[in-house]
Amino acid sequence: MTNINRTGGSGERLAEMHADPARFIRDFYEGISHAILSNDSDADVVDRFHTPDMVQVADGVTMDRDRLIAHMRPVRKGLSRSRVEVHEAIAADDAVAARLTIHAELNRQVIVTDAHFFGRFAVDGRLRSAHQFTKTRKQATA
Amino acid sequence: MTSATERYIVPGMVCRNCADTVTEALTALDGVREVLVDLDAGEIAIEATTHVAPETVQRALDAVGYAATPNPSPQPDPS
Repeated sequence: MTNINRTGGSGERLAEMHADPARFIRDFYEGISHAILSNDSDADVVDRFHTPDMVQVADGVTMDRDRLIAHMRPVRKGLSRSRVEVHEAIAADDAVAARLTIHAELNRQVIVTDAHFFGRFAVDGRLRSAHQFTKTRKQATA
Repeated sequence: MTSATERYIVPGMVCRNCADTVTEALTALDGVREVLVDLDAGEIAIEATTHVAPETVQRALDAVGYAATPNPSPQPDPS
C-alpha cells in the first residue's frame, strides 16, 4: 500500500500517482478506511490524507476539514470493512480522474457505491480538492 | 392530530447513506412521523405528533455516531 506521509514533499507521491494512478487511488481510499479501523483519531485520519485547506464536493454537498472530521465519527461507528475497485484512472500534473466502486460494510449493511472522482493532490500525496459523483446501487443485509 | 417540527444541525451528515442512517434512527422514536434531511446545510427537520425531547433525539443520533444541536431558527420559505 502506498504510504501517504504528511511530511513527504519531494514529489515522490505524485510520481507514484503518475506511474499507477489506479493503485494510487485505491491505496488512498483503502488507507483512509484502514486508519479509521485502526482507531486513529478523527482529526489524525483527515489530516494524514487531506491538506488543511481541502475542499471536497460529493454529489453537490461541500465538505471542508471540519465537516469531514465530523463525518469520521459515524463512519468509524458503523464501518466494519471496506475495499475499493478502481476500474480506470488517469493522471495529469497534480490531478487524477477515476471511476471506482467502494464496497463497504456499514451498520451491518453491505453498501456498494459507484463513484466518478476528479481530484487534485499535493506533492506529499494528500488530497487538496475533489469532486465526486456517486450512486449507491445495491444494499443488502450483511 | 397535533404535530410539531423540531430542527437540528447535524454536521457529520454529508451523503445519502448518512441521510438514511439518521432517518432510520429517528423514525424509530415514538411520535416521529417524518424526517426531512437537508444534506447541503447539514440540517434535519423532525415532524412528530408530539414534542420529542432534544436529549432523546441526541441520544438516538449519538448511537449511530452523529452529534446534533437544536436549531430553533426555521429555514426561510423559498416561495
